[in-house]
Amino acid sequence: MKYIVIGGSAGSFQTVSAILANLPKNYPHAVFLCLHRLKNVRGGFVEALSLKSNIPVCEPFDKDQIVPGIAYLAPANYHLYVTNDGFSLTTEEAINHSRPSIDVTFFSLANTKKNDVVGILLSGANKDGAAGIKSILDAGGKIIVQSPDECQVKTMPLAAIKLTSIDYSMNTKDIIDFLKNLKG
Amino acid sequence: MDEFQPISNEIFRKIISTVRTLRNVDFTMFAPDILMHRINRSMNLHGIQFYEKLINKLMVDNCFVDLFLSEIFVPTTEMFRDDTMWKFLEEHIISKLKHESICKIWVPQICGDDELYSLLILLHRNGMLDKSTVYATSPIQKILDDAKIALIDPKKFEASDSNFKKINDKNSLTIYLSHSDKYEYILPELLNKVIFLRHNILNSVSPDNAFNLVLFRDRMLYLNSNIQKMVLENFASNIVKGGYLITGIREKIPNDFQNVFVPVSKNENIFVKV
Repeated sequence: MKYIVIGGSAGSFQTVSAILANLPKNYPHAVFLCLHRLKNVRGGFVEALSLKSNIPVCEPFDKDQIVPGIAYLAPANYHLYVTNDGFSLTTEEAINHSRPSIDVTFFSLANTKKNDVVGILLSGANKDGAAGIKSILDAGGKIIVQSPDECQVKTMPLAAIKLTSIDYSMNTKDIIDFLKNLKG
Repeated sequence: MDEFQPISNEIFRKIISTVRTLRNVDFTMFAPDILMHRINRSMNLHGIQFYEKLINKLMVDNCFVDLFLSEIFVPTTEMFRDDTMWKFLEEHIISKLKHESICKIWVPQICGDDELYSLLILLHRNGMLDKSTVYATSPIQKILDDAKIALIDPKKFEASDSNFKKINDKNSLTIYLSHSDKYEYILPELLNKVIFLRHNILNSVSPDNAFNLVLFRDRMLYLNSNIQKMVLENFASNIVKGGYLITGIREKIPNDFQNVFVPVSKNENIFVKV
């Protein structure tokens, strides 16, 4: 099983929605979504993503186990760690003004799942995720940024490109093809 | 230093052992990945680059030990976080507790502590303060001392006030604050009924018994699974039948306890002890 972690902020919702709509049912990998969102709005996000998704979307509870074929969305106002024992949620201080912070989820996956991680950074308006995606690369994983030309807001992928060498810069269609063909 | 870098087992054990020796605080209660991040974060805050230097500083600097310990515990984020929970608490739980002759409440593992202050404001609003005894406990003296001072963090105030207005659209939180030297504090009279007590949640001995309410939101997140069960056993023994336990909205009560703590509100993770 691979661990696919997708981070995004402003302008990433449609891309994430398109990815989830095109993954096959019974997808053999686990997907983690860390998207900047309103901290006091608990409901609606899972439902909106589920509308078109081919795989189940849920917000994990603390210490839930990871199951392949599910897209796990970081809950509002919690950081999402992925550990060897499953999920850990925290209310630690905001990082890059964000809780959930993309860096937190990226770093934790890099530390625990090493070269089984595929990190993807999408459209967004700050640098959250740039340091984290570098840590995935450093740990032996693959990293992708959404092509800045396609992004509604390109600050986030550009911050990653500035910080490290990226394996792939892709548009949405190519990201979908990459994920569909990803072997376990 | 990368705040998220793993700490080797040997160093990790050394830090845990040092803290246990110095302050009798058992860090093994924490989920390891979170604890590593908290240690690294504290080192970054103090410009400490190497773990051996951290251990040496802990051994020789008594004040730093207290500061370090207080930084390991995760502070609460804001007052009235999850406003719907507080609304439910006020409308459905406090309204029932009003009929009790006395009301004993326990807020364990405080840190921050916006949860404690939010509770005190609700009790005050509902005329419950005089009949309530509130235990606020932590194993760390500095955390207790800071909570007694009740200084409001201006960075959190906007979010806290916004949450409060969703519960009570008439008044701002400012009516519960006092002003002194450019700083704002929780009104001292709200704190009069609080017993601040140094207490380790791992102790089988509870600060009291027959609690009507235990407020333990987003604190189980930081405990490993075995410790969670010990803590819930403690609550099960010390909450009165018909009393309430409130946990964080993303925390789960393990199966072993689902016959003891029955949800009153699944969305808000409010349970009644049966």
